[in-house]
Amino acid sequence: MKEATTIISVDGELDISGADALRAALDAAEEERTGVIRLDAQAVSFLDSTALGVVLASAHRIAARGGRFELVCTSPAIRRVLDMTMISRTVHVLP
Amino acid sequence: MSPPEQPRVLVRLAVPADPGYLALCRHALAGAGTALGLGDESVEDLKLVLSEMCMNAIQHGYGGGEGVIELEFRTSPHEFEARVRDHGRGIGPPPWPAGAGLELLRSLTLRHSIEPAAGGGTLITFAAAR
Repeated sequence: MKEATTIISVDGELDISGADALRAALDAAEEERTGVIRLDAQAVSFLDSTALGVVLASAHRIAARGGRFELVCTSPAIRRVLDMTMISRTVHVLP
Repeated sequence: MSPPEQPRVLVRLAVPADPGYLALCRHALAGAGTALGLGDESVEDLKLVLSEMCMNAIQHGYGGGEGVIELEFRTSPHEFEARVRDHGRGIGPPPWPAGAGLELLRSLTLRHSIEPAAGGGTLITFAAAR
């Protein structure tokens, strides 16, 4: 059986000015307590360290309750930052 | 032999120390970098570092209060250089507390410096190869 998934789609440039909105969206998704929470960031063109911190904190909370956090990201620039900061070891980065 | 060419100032920009202006700073850098023929990867790296340095100025230089961030982008035959200057409370001597911004500054640029600015505040300079 396929596990229930909550999908959040974000776009644009994610920096500190959008971090609160991102945190609120992830908090709301976490409250649904589905097995998988997927942040679809395919339309995101920029991600700073504050937004990355928000993503990572959410991923840790979800992992701690036995859930799975997925980040869908196709931007080569963002993928490189994820690799460099080793966040891709903690977060399931797709595809 | 002719003397080495002096860096040329491409852009000077002063913005309020407010996160709402970070995108404008990044876009200004992207415009200047692209016009100089920097590759996409280099432009993206520089945008990220610039954004982090401006955020440091907002959060640490001005402690979230009012202020101005001055940006300058320069070019020489072999480098693109960005300068981020604030007039905030200044930075003490190293070592500085570890943070993602400093780590990105170190790992994504060809060279960088962090120094007290003349007249107060902090000047951060970083460069990429052209």
